[in-house]
Amino acid sequence: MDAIADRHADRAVRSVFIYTREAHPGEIYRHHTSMDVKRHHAGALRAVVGIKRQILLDGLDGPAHKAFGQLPNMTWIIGRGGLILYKSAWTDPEDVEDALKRAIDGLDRRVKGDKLPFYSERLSWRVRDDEKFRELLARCGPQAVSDFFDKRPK
Amino acid sequence: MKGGASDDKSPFVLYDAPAYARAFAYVGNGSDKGRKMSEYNYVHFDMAAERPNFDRFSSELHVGERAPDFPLEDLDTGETVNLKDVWSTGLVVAEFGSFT
Repeated sequence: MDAIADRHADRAVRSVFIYTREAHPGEIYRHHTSMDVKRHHAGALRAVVGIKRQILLDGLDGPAHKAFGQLPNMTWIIGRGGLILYKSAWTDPEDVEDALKRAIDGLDRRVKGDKLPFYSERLSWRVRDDEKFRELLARCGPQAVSDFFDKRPK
Repeated sequence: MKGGASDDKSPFVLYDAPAYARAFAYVGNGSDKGRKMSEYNYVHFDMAAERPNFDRFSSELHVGERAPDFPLEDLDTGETVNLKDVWSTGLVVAEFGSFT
């Protein structure tokens, strides 16, 4: 997603990461009990994961997260004035960039007068990689792994 | 942010252990299995409890509608940033997520 941000920064596209609650708390990275803890974890996203985009912290009780759907890793594309152009339950960079390019083209062409917006819906697909996900959860602590893998429906 | 343990690249080492320990000093050792800290900031992930959010997602807040505005805190500066000010400058790609 940082790469997408870099590729489109010159098109007046701002890419931000809105920091929510911990989706998979564990012994190492726990649930948030204060904004200090939330800031600490968000700092880890910068320092450990290496995210370069602007990171914006939601309130402790997640007011923005709740209003936008409260899913663990959504991406939304919003136009000037707050018009929602794209909403996705998961963040798939390929899907996001496709939507972003279409949005940029559509907005440019609307100004020129040869394109009009229309509503559409589609189902998208993302890669499932349980082993990689298990590794990501493991960095949060054994509880995070157990809560997801041991307790999910078979 | 400064990191006390940030030089260690092990995924199991907490980013800034001393600061983290201070933040948790008043809430005990975390041995609260089964107890939810709050409805929102749960202690344990529970897929069954979170499933309704996925079911509702497609039926709430649609493309073509206006996004809600909220104040957010910039991690690097500590300043309050209103979401509407972010999209006032042009297109915004907003990814929601967390370290975990």
